[in-house]
Amino acid sequence: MNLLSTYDRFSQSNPAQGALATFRQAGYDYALNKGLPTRKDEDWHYTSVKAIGEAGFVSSGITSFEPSHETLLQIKARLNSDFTNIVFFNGVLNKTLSADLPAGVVLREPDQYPAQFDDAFDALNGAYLTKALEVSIAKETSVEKPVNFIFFTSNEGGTNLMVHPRIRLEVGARSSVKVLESHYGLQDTVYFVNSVFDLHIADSAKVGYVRVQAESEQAFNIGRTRIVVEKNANLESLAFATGAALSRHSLDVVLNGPGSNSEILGVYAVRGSQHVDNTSLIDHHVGECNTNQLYKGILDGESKAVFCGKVLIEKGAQKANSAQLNNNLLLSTKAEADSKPCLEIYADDVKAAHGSTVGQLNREELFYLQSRAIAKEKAIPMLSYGFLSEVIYKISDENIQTWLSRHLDEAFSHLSLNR
Amino acid sequence: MDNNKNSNNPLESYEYKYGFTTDIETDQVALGLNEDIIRLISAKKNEPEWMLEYRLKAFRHWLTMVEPTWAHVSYPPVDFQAIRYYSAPKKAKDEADKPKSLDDLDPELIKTFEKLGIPLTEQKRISGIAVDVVFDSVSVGTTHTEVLDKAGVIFCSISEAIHKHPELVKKYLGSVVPHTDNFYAALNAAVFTDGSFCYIPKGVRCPIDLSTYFRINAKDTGQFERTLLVCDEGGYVNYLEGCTAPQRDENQLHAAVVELVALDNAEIKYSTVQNWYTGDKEGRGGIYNFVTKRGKALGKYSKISWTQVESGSAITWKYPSCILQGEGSEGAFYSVALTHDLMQADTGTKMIHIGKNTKSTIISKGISTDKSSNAYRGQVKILPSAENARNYSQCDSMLVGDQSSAHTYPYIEVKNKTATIEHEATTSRISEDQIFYLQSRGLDMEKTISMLVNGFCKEVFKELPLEFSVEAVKLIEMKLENSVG
Repeated sequence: MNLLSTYDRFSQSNPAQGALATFRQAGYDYALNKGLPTRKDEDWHYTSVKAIGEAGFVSSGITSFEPSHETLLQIKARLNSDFTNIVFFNGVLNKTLSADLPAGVVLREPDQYPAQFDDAFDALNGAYLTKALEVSIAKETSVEKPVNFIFFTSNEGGTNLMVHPRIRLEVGARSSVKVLESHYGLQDTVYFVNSVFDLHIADSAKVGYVRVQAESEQAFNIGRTRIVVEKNANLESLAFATGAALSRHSLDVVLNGPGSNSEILGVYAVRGSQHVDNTSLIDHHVGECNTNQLYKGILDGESKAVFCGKVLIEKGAQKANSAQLNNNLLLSTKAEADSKPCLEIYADDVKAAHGSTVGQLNREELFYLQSRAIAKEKAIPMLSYGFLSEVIYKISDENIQTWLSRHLDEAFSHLSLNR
Repeated sequence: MDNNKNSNNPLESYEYKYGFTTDIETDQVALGLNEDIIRLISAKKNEPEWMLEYRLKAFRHWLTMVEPTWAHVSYPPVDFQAIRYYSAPKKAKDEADKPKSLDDLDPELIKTFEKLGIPLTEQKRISGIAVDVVFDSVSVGTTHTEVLDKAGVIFCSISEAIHKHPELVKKYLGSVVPHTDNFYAALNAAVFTDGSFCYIPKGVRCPIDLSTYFRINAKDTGQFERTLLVCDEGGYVNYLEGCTAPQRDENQLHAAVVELVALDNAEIKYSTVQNWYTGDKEGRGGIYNFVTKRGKALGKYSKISWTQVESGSAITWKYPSCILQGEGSEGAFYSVALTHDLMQADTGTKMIHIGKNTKSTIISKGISTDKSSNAYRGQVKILPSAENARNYSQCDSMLVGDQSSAHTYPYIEVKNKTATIEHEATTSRISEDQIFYLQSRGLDMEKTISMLVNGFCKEVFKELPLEFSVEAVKLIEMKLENSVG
């Protein structure tokens, strides 16, 4: 595999011992053995990652450099004072830019790593891992300010960089916290971010998780989020994507204890030749859990959006309640939406429903606005914005709502309106 | 042979009343598949050279293919060399010997079809449906030929069509399902032994409903029939298909291909009540039903509708599809799939929108009981050329019993912004409130469930022609009797 060609150089310049060394080797072996997924893999049917394999990416572990002054200014402009910002530059934690952690939140390097990988990207992340982070939140701790893990990637160094961040977050029983994982590009260049985020929510904890992907429009972003939800816990998650030439977010939610409630949301807005893929697996491992999934997206230009959502209700997971909906709005004739909502159900006393729609703006709504003297060029974004903001307003934290709306404004300012 | 299973053991017949075998002299080829067998089949059927060429081309292509594994079903690998690819009742072994009148048929055969409720003999034909009957590998007779002749409708076995109407067969055979399409379609193209052919001429509304009845009888045989139905401009036809097989411990393979072609303003309604043997309670035996059915709405404003009641087969792998090519063409798919015991069904449809203003509707109802698994798999594809395409899909699953499973895999691909696509699916078990309500009105559990299931399937049953609708309701009731309670 092409992406592994610099592995030897990487492991020489970033020597590792013990568990990390074993983990890296396992990742290397797995990735080498499996190779990148192709469109023949059912999970990758609508997304080809050939371009990632061919771009000749070099690990950030080999070519690390300090951010320039302009870059620093750009980074600072992105830091929101409503959040506790933990800043990563090219995959490395930057202590000077990062705020202090609130009480009850501990950050350290893990001494244990997962025993297996979900796919080649997960394994690649392991192979090129320089430093994983483990964040734990003690039980019965309420963290008021959202914690934003914010990843900036810059290609100033000149090579096509790839970064492989990995975070594991452990939320103690009866605690509450809101975590954000955000990805930004600093120049409009080609680079590759391959992130893994593990989140474990203990009994009766309440967690908000928002992932923002606003990479440069030539970049690649492959992300995996694994969430385990224990008994009576509460999850509110949102995957937001407006950037990258090719992005894919794989979300695995395992409902591991009864009585949990999960709201799983997604928003995407793409244009040009962007490709966005949201793949999710909601696994009702035990019964009596509620999940409600809503993903909405708009597509402009020749962009393509993929939604593959699988809801699995395992044997014995009685009284599971699951809803799933994907709505796509096509703004241009050449855009393409592929939607594959799947239900796999092995228990009988359940309620499961899913729906998927693809369509264009309602002509009557457009006409109504135009008849009120709002030009078509304004009316189209207005209606599209309304279509997406429904999802954003489902997030309970107002600061996060505002923050997301600002991202959406940014994306809308780029939409072409010469239809 | 166990000819009297039907009457001896009331319990067994209760489960599958078509499980008997017919003791009839047959003309069979050896087990296995190779070019010689194909040449032999072709020779037995006295086929022209081009047909043999077609078969061999398909066979050579088949050799390069691997069995598909993506469906949500599991079964031991099929040994394609342990299947007999040709078996025919002796009397009808070749065209020249074919009985002049249906009354000359082997009385055993006539009895068989009487048992199945398909009257073959002239005096009994009151049902008003023309039937082409396929027994194992060959068509044994077609009824109501005069009425059809008068209207100019060609309805005969495909072997006969190859001889009498080669121009039509050459033009349309493989035009919808090419031999390269999939593993089982390639196999079928290589070895198909018979099937029905139907041509509705321009502007003709077929005066009676047409029907094909398939029966697998002989041991170790596979049934590979091919149906080709062409409806010319402005034509209309209502086509029904039924099938049964004896109860055996081995699995038997049924890999059919059905091709429909609708030209300008033509309308084809194709209904199936599939009741192949399902295997016993432990999952022994039963038919592997791996079928490719596809219709091409080629002409402007043409319509194709598939209605199916899938209640049989150990494994069903079937996706009746519509290619909506003509401007304003319409496709519809109505399906009820009931699985019980250890049955596995992976069924659904494909709607490929190519032409402008094309419309498709999908209504699928799956009922999964006992330990069975029932999956809906469907694709709706809107190509860039399909301006203003419209699709509505609804797939509901009902689960009866905590060992059963139900799956829904829709694939929605939209490449045109003017398209409007809606897909909805629900999965749930029968509502306890509804059961309570009906029971409080004095209905017993069995009646209650049967009534609720009937209501659940109503949207599909109402699309079936009357006779089939009655049969389907009875069939579902009968199957449920054993599953719930």
